[in-house]
Amino acid sequence: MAAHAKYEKKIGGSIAILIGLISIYEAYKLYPYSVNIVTGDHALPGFIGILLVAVGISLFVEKKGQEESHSVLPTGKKRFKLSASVILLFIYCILIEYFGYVASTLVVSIILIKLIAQNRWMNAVLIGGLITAVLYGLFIVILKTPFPVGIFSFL
Amino acid sequence: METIMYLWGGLSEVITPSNLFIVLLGSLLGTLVGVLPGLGPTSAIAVLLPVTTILEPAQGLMMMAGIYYGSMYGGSTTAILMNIPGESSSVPTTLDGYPLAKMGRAGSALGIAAIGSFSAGIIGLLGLVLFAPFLADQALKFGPPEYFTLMLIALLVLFNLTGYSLRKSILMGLFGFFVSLVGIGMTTGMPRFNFGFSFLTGGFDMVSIIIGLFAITEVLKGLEEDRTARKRVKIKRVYPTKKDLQQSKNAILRGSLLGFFLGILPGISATITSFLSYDLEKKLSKQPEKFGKGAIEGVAGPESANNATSSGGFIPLLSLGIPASPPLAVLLAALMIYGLTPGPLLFEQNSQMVWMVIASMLLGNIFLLVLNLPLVGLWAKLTEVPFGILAPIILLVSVLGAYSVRNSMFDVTVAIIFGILGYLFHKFHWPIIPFVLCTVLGPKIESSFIQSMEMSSGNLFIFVERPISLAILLLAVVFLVISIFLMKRTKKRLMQETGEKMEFS
Repeated sequence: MAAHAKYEKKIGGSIAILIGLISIYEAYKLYPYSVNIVTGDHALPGFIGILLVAVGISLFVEKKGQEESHSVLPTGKKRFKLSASVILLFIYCILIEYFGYVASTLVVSIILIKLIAQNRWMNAVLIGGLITAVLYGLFIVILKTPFPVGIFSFL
Repeated sequence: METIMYLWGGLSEVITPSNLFIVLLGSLLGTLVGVLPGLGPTSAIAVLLPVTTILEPAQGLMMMAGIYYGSMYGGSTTAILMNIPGESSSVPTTLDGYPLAKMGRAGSALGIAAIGSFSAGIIGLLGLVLFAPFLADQALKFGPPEYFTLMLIALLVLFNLTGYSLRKSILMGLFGFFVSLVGIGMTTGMPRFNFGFSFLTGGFDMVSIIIGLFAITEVLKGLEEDRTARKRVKIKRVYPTKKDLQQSKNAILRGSLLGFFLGILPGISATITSFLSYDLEKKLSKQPEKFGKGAIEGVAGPESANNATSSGGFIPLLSLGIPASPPLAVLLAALMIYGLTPGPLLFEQNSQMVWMVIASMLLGNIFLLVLNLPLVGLWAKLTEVPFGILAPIILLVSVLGAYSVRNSMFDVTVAIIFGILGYLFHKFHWPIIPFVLCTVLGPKIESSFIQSMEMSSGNLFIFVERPISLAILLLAVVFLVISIFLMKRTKKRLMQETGEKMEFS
């Protein structure tokens, strides 16, 4: 399904209005702690909220065709590659907590290479292993980043 | 005279084996990342920023400056050899650089680009040494109202520079402000926009947002374009000939001066100056018909202008704390991470470190010129690294880099989410630059605003009642008009040359 950017400005405008309203609400919540109407932590959230709503409305009601981007989101294999890569990154965040740096990075790098480069499994394992080792040297040995160790605490 | 002494002092401190190694490493790392297709200076600095955090602040900053210069140089390699302009400011370089490469003169084009970048960098540095302390001295007279006006106006002018709709730019800037407000409020200490979640109380980490918007987004764009290693043109000769140098010397000088003097004005970006330089060279040439088919002046002028504008950007960054472009916004964030506050006080409070960093830039430029010409073959080889291998590496480094700043998995999630948002913004032509600049400057603008309001007991007219503030406002109107005129012209030129809309760099 090709998702045309037909409603791009309407969607953008609506999101801006929504964020603007949230900002105004936050300003309203913080107002009791303020010195006066323009001095305090509420002031900028209030101004920005009002501006977001105003610009959002103007974008929402803008006539179609005025500087429309005519972009199309990818479909088929490309969409799969894009979504799978992003999902894999989110999974990596979870895996690293439970299995630690080495196991999770190795698995994720192999799958990413298989997915993006479409190499043979053997090549993917070799390259994935190399990437994991180099990044281990950089982030853990040199930068001393304390990644979660997970269940493989010996790694 | 005093500034020369400071610079000399900085130079004498930089010339130690460890500092020289750091500058060299930064320049080489920057070039390495810059030559990889699709990665520009901003992503190079963002991805490598966490790596520099183990260093002493001065060394970290020297390395960051080297990375910035190196990646700027690396960008011209892909533009010339593969016809891929990493950023819109490199488009004019492709117009004659790629035809020259196809004619077997890639080495000449790359060599002239390196010499142009070097001379522009040196002119930019001279300007920095002469103007930045003076400007910082003047800026000491600024109070919070003047700062607020200056930053707000600078942003408004920059919004006009994105190349996309002004309304979208403003909206993206406001969204950036909104993101910068998340966290602890500066007057009451109350959490803002945390919606009851403790992980939002600390606010968003700037580096994670930048890694997402520039590095992860770049990979997603590459996946969509199905980037395969494009065949590069073979390099036959690395060094430019005497004739090339003869033909280019005036173009380099003109490009450097034009890029620097226009570039220090607010509202003039590197894209504008590089196109202006290209058109100027074409106009002055005795053989204008050669342009677009392989005129060496068509590489020399724009490359010099591009680099001179970028170097000129250090003046408002260091003396006023205002970044003129996304890579400088990341550098501003880096300065803050190292505990420095860019602005007029920087030259007073951290004078030794600032002059050390400035001196290191001088050496970095020399390293780039001396090393990069013989290494052109190696850099060219790197452009052939398959995207299938490069993409997983960039993604993993982005995730691990985002984690390493605050050791927080929340920051990694933020980087991934902003990576997706960046892809969508790019897809539907929503400019990222106003978002980044407002996210970085948001806290400074808010503190200036609150201080101004406290000074005036809530009187908003304080911004027009004070003479300096009023003068800034009036000057801003003039710059905005000039900027709008030049912007329209550059937009038209970019459309003529590429047939598509691009976000300006």
